[in-house]
Amino acid sequence: MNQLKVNNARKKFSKKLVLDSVSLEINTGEILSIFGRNGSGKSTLLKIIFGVETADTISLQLNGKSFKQKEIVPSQKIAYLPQDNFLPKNYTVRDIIPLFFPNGDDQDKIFYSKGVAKFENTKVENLSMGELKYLEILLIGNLKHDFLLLDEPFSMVEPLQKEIIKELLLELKKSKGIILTDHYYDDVLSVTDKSFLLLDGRRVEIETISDLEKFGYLQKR
Amino acid sequence: MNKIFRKYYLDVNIYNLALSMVFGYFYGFLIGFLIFCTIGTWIGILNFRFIKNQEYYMYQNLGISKAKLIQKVCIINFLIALPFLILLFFIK
Repeated sequence: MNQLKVNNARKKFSKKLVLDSVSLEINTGEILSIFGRNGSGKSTLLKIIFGVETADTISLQLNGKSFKQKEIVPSQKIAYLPQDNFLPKNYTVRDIIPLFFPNGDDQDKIFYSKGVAKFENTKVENLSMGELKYLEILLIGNLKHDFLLLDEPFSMVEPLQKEIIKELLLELKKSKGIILTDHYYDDVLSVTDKSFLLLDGRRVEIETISDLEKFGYLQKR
Repeated sequence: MNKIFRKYYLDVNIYNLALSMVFGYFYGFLIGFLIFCTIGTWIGILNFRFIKNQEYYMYQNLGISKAKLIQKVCIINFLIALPFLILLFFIK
């Protein structure tokens, strides 16, 4: 089992304190979800953990060993799915897979994954949002990283495709730790093991939908 | 040069090459070549950032940082330029 610990992540944009000493801990085999209103710092926190956004203060530990933000990308321990497409638009799926997996057996694993044959000759720019998100998660999820950071994996995805993505996340969870953020709270809560809400830059524990209502993320019913 | 870095190198230098050819056409081959290996490289990198910035996440997921990509492109283009710069120095 691998463990990722993030302690005292703090980030200020000019005068606004977006993250106020946020800490989290995740093990492989777990899915942790982060809720929060727009601008609450969810994406910033994921980018900080991925090492592409500098934090004002942060302490990172992997299996008890401290490491710096700049070491995250080269270490290939943490993968990141951004909100917007990051794959080359003019490439077909068939062209992209070898970029991620030079080895033939690894490529086959992706080509023979559920549903890929249907769109393997399609250009990325012509994929539906659901197909694109699924492909992106499939690609980064099959890299050797121990942890996945997913920023809005269900956003603008049709219901049937969401189920396929959820199935994939539960499969990936067997060998990885996953942190995800999304506003589709029903979908998120159906796959997650633990959750918290970012409120005024601080972490608030969430266990049920009523907690989301209690802290003003959802309207009270 | 591995496949993934080759993609970045070509994406950056396609703009660079276009710019250098324009300069080469008006000011001669040597100037065009020097542009390709110096300021053209930076313009290509800036252009990539402007048009394909999201793709940096692909490289980062594959373990290559933005700084590393830029550094490698600059070094390769400088090494291409070096023999010509030395030659130019001795001709003068």
